[in-house]
Amino acid sequence: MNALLWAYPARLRERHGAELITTLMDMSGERPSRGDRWHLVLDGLGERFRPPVRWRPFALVVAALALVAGGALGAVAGSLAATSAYAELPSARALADQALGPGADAHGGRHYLDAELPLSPGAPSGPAAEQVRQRLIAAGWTVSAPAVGDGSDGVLSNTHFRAGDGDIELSVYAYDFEQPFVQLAGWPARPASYVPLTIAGALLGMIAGWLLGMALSHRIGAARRPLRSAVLAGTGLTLLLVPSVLFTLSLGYYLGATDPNGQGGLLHTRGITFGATFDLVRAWDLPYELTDAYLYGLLGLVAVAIAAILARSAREPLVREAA
Amino acid sequence: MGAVQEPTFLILTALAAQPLHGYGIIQSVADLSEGEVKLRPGTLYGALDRLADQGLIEVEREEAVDGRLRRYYRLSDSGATALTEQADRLHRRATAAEVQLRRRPGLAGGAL
Repeated sequence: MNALLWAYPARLRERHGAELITTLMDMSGERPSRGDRWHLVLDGLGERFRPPVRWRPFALVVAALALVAGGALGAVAGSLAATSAYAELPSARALADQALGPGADAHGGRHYLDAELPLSPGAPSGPAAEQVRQRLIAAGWTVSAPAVGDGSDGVLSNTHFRAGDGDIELSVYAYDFEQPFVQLAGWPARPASYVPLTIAGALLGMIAGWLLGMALSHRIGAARRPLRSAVLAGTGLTLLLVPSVLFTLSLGYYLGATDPNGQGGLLHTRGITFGATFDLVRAWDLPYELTDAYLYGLLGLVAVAIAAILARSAREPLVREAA
Repeated sequence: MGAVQEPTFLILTALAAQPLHGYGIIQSVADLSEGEVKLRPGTLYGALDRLADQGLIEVEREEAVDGRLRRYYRLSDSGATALTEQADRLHRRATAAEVQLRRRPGLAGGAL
């Protein structure tokens, strides 16, 4: 029976654990029904979501911030887990030889590959792009019609098209330039499990964030010196908000971008991402330093942890020991 | 103190006359509400914890009966004041409702 009490927050378990069991047995006899035990657990879990009576507005703000940060971190975990379903990229070298021909410079990573072939000075981009396009068609890729960029969007004037085989997506740009070149980039297509896993991660993270926020608020509310912990926790959670928001925007960009011009909008081309991707800062013209926003998150987590450690309880026991 | 929820009001009411242990409070609340409010142990002790933190109730004594802990709670002075305020507030609301009902068209003594 005592195991059921783990559903309750520690403050309630310590103060009322024995009474809870006694009262349940008073009501239901020595062997409470499955329904009674179920209600005991559900009521305990419900208590974990409740704000403290004192510090209630603070608790709601802290829980809301923790919910956002938890949701973003959960989405990171879900997104990262979903990348295991990404198709394996072909060898960058082999693809470059096949699509661009000999002489291309090729680089490959786990989730991104690129290759570049210099063209003869003055060579127009259209025929070069069409040659690559025909090679990819011959190799079985599904390719889009070529499109022309006139340079008005900030990208050099070019001819470009997309290709894909269901698992991998390719982007080919041939640039008109003093030293013209063809660039090919490839990345895995988004698998069907990506969105459900990311949403599930976000939801679990939001719940965990709210619960941790409430637990922190209860701890701070019962602390001997609550103000310093409150300030530290508020600062830490605000710092965590920076990478959380940037990651969420990057996720939105990845899910919404129809013609990503960069690393395919992928979130995890450089390992675990908790902040802005290069594609987001490029697309939104944001400072590149924001790709390192996870540092704010780390600082925030440290501040929250210190706030929790400093918040030593001043809560008096319900019954004082006899002197 | 703002308006309290009905279970909280009934717990304070149950403790107004005498100290009670957890199960006693549950039984008293059921009686006072004519069976409408049935507290479960989990909801009861969550509420008692909050009321103790607010200083509205206190532990009167503890007993061990057949090896089980029985803790008796009583209404504190500030709890009695808060309950009085709540009771007055509810009384005023009930009176206002009765006055409005008497003004209802078609009722005896009401405006036509």
